[in-house]
Amino acid sequence: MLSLAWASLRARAFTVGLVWLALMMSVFLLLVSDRLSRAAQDGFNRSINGVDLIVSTKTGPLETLLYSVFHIGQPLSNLDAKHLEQLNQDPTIDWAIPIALGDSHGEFRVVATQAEYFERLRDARNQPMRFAAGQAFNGPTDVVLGAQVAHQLNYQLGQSIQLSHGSGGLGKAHDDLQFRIVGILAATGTPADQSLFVSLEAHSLLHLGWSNGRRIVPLDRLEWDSLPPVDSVTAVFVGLKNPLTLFQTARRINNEPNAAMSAVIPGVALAQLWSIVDRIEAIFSLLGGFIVIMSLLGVLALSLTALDARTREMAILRACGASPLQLAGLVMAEALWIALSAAGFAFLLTHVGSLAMREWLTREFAITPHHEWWVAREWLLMMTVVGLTLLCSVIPAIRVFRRSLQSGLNA
Amino acid sequence: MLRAESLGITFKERPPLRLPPLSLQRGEKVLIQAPSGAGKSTLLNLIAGILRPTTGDIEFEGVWHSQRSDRQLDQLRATSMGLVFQTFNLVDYLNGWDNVTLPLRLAKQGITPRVRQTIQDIATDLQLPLSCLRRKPNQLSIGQQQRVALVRALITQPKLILADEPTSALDPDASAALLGLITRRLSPEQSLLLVSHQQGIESLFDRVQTLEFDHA
Repeated sequence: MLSLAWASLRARAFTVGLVWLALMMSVFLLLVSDRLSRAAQDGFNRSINGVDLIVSTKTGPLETLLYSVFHIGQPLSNLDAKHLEQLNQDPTIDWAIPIALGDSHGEFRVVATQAEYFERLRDARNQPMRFAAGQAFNGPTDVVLGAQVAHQLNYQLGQSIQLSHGSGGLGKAHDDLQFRIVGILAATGTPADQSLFVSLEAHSLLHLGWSNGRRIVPLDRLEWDSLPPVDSVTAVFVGLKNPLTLFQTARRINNEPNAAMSAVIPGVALAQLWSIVDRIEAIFSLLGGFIVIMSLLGVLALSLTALDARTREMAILRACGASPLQLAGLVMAEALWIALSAAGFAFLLTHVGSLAMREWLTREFAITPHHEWWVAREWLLMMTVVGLTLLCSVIPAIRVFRRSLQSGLNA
Repeated sequence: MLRAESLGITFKERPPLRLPPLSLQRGEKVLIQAPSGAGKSTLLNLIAGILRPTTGDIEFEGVWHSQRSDRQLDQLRATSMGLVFQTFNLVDYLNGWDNVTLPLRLAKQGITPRVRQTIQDIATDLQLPLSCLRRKPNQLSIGQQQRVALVRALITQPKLILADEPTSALDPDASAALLGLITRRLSPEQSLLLVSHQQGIESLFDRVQTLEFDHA
């Protein structure tokens, strides 16, 4: 019956092909949107790998996450040097890397930190950060670029750039201070790709001599060796000696008597943040579902309109001993062929596509799609489409069944 | 081997039809002459078990159709009967070979080397070049299409061949020649019930019956 169905479909290759294409594209769309959203969620959840706790001044966990990891918004207040010292002396803490935000280069944010940042933090695949070119900053006027910054602005190693005080390109350029590009990071699939990194000393430099948004002391008159120590930072990324002490350490920092610091567990805060983004994803899935239903209506319309033209074919098959049930089965087998091949092809296309576009997606959108063959959700999705197609084909199948019982061989 | 008694059938939107009694012996070749549109196709549908009569019954090989299930009738048609129509006998999208083997595939019977040989023999007897079996129906002449349909009707070595004006699309000489080939191809065990309004072919048959259908 399947081979008969295949032959019948081939004979109507053009119309069947169009309907097949529509169904295939809709399944492809569903698979791609599902895969991208999973990759986005995954990338999102891995925005800050290698860090056990983010410590900031007393704010909500979402705010801390937004400005310290995604560089969105501004902190209300900073941590000062004594807090950093306190963290460094905590016996459960292995390392503490401060970051200071507040400067930018065009649309990209500048993160002032220590060179250790590149050793401790990990990329979206949980691998150590790699330098595509150059190395970590060493002096106060060195700058390291995230992969996307270098790619979009087409910057090369050794080039000199200016940084601005403030964010989003609205700040004033520190035109008397040139930073030299000493390193370009490989793509990480995290917000680090869209960031520039300087030393904390550079951050102090940028802010020296400013008052109420105006420069009052020119930089060229400063003694470079006499830079004041860093007195405040935006947040501190913390790694623990023993991951089992995570909740205990977080609780201790949060319950500190003077209540100046709050510790955020990145995974927990990311999950909270994703639950907001999740609704958009649900809308996309809904739209994808509608597109699939429309394609299925196409398959149904094809089967129904073809029935009248196939009366004679059905009569011949009946004469050759086909039962009404077999004829109904033929119609369903055709739908099965269309659905299986469309879903299969869409699946292959999704795989090949995500493999081919992987590097580009990571570089441009910080999204790294997976390419496993077995993802329960994807198979369930395809099986649902195949099942729905079969269900739709029941309608023409019943018609064929009834008609062949009533009309006999009057072809 | 075939007996039809008090057959009547009622259709939607059509007057009820009563069919005259009919019988056929094993190996008998009977020509039924009736005007077109009289109800010949309905008679063949009833005998083939595709339609069920409203009244009366048909006995085939000692068993009444009313005692057989729909599935048994479908199988009976695939294995013990061969049907040939006036025209449009073949499925467009299948080549000659696939059209010929259709009843075997529908009855889930394998195509053995012996079956292949039988097909070749019948095709040769009906003067059908084997190359025609590799072509689609639209690449064949009407005469070749009818021959392919006849090969199909004969490969299961059916006990009864039901033919509805199988040669009416051919000119009288070709028609008579083909009918001659068919009747000669049949074994003494095989019966033929051929419906036609064609004149001058009566001598090829054992018996001629003129049917009068009663459209009540």
